[in-house]
Amino acid sequence: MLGNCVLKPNRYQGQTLDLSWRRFFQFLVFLVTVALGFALIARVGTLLGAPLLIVAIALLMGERSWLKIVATATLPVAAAYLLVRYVLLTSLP
Amino acid sequence: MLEALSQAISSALSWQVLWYLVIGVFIGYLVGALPGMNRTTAIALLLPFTVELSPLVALSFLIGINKGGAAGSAVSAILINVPGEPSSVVTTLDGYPMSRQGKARKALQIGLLASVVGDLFATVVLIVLTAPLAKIALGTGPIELSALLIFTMTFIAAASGTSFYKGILSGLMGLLLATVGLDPETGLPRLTFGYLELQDGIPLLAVAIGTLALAEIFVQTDRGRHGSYDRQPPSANSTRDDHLSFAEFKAITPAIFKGSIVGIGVGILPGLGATLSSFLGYNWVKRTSKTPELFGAGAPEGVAASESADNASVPGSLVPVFAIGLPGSLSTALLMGAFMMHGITPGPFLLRDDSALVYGIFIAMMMASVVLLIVGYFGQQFFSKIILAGDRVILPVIVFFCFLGAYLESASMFSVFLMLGFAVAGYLMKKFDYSFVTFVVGYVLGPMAELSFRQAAILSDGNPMALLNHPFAIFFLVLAVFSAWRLNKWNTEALAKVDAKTKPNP
Repeated sequence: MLGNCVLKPNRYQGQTLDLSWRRFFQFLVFLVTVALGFALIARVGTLLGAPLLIVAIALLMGERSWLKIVATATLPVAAAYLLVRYVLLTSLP
Repeated sequence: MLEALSQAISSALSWQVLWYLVIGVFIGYLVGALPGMNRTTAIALLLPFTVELSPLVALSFLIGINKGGAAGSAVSAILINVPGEPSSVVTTLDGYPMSRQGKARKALQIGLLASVVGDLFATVVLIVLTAPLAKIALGTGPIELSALLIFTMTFIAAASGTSFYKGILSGLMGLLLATVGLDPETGLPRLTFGYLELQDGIPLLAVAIGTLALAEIFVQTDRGRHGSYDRQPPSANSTRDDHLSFAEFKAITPAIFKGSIVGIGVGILPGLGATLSSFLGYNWVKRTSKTPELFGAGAPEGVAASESADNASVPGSLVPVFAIGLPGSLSTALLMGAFMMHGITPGPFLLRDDSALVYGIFIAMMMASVVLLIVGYFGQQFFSKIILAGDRVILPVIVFFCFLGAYLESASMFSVFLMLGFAVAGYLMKKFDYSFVTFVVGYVLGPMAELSFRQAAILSDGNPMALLNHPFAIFFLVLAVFSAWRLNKWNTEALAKVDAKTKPNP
């Protein structure tokens, strides 16, 4: 009984979770983008890497308004960077 | 006691506590209002920012997020028919029809007032119940605590998913994860695989942010670019009858109290959660209403019942945390993690040894209810506009905050990639319906469970018959078996009903 239920997909929880290969591929693309984005931040620093990560994810999610993308990629990163460096007094990559 | 109380009042009424309460409630309300985001995600993401704060300020901030999130989820449920959190699914039944009838503002006001009253009522119950329950808990030993832990884990496993076995498996995975690090008795490393970074155990934030926040974003991407909802501006179809009058408030008061009672009861029991409490509260009010036919078509009592039950479950779920030291939900498990990050162990000993802090938290919780009313009342227009911004802009920023949260705990990229690993695990758990509530609670309770089991084994000399001298422990073990059997049967029956409905006719 335990073995039978181990790999049974989600049946009902208010939302349908698709288990197709297409969705799995989309998930992998998203995962690789996030992992590369984190690696990029470690390599080039938060101020340069984080906006690129945000731009990549926003484009992947279908956002096409460059005004929104640029604002999203710069303002939160700058605010968070200032908060962490000058209020929490902690360093970031 | 009076000295502790006066100390608590002076520290809780400071500007710092009030300021962080306002920020916490505001963030919680905002996150609750955004579809796809929830208060647990916000608590997990903002936990690292509280490390530098004093315990009272940090906990006030996190409790503010929890309360704000519970109330804010009604905004999107009422305006765009998409619940901000699963617990507001029931609010859509009457909230959205009210909105379509041009009574969006009235529905929002009912939701807010029901949330505030339910929350305040439940906070008073929390304050009244904690001390007597803690006194009982102080008289128990490791054997009773072990039995209580087994009951809690079994109950959560049975109640929080559709499969009891998957729930148990998730809980065991959480417990196993908690054993990573140095053995508390021998000091030797366990399951560290040679990584020095793992000798202190797996960081709480890597687990919490990965499984709760980033995994949720991975799930959100499943909806893809085409996930859309009715983005009609709320003010577009406003009518004259769009303000809550005193007579109407009086009429919905019984529904608010019924919802609050259900919310407190369900909140205290581990694993049941706010979603079930809002369903039960709504059903009770509907069954006892003189006009049940209006429910589902824009009945104000429906909004009041579900929202009061949802919010009352928040302080209700804190009763076992303060009285016994056991979390029964994701948000309380994270709050317990916050306590531990400040070197505090919640439970009966905390009330005895640092009652000023506990009373301070209680006062802050009462203040949070008032702040909730003010933030909700003056911010509703703002929150209504924010939910129309869209997740394509919000989710990428949250991914960055996931990175920030994981990095800040240990200032190393190791935590970040560990968090990414847990995000993949959390995504697959959601896909295959493994209860991540049981997983996280198992992980948080792990060290306490290990200590209790070891002490119980030493005290009983490894002889199971020693249990016969501990009727309290026997009671909880029997209760664990009974609740597992009963809840599992309910789950099986519910699944069979769903299968029967979805089966195609020959």
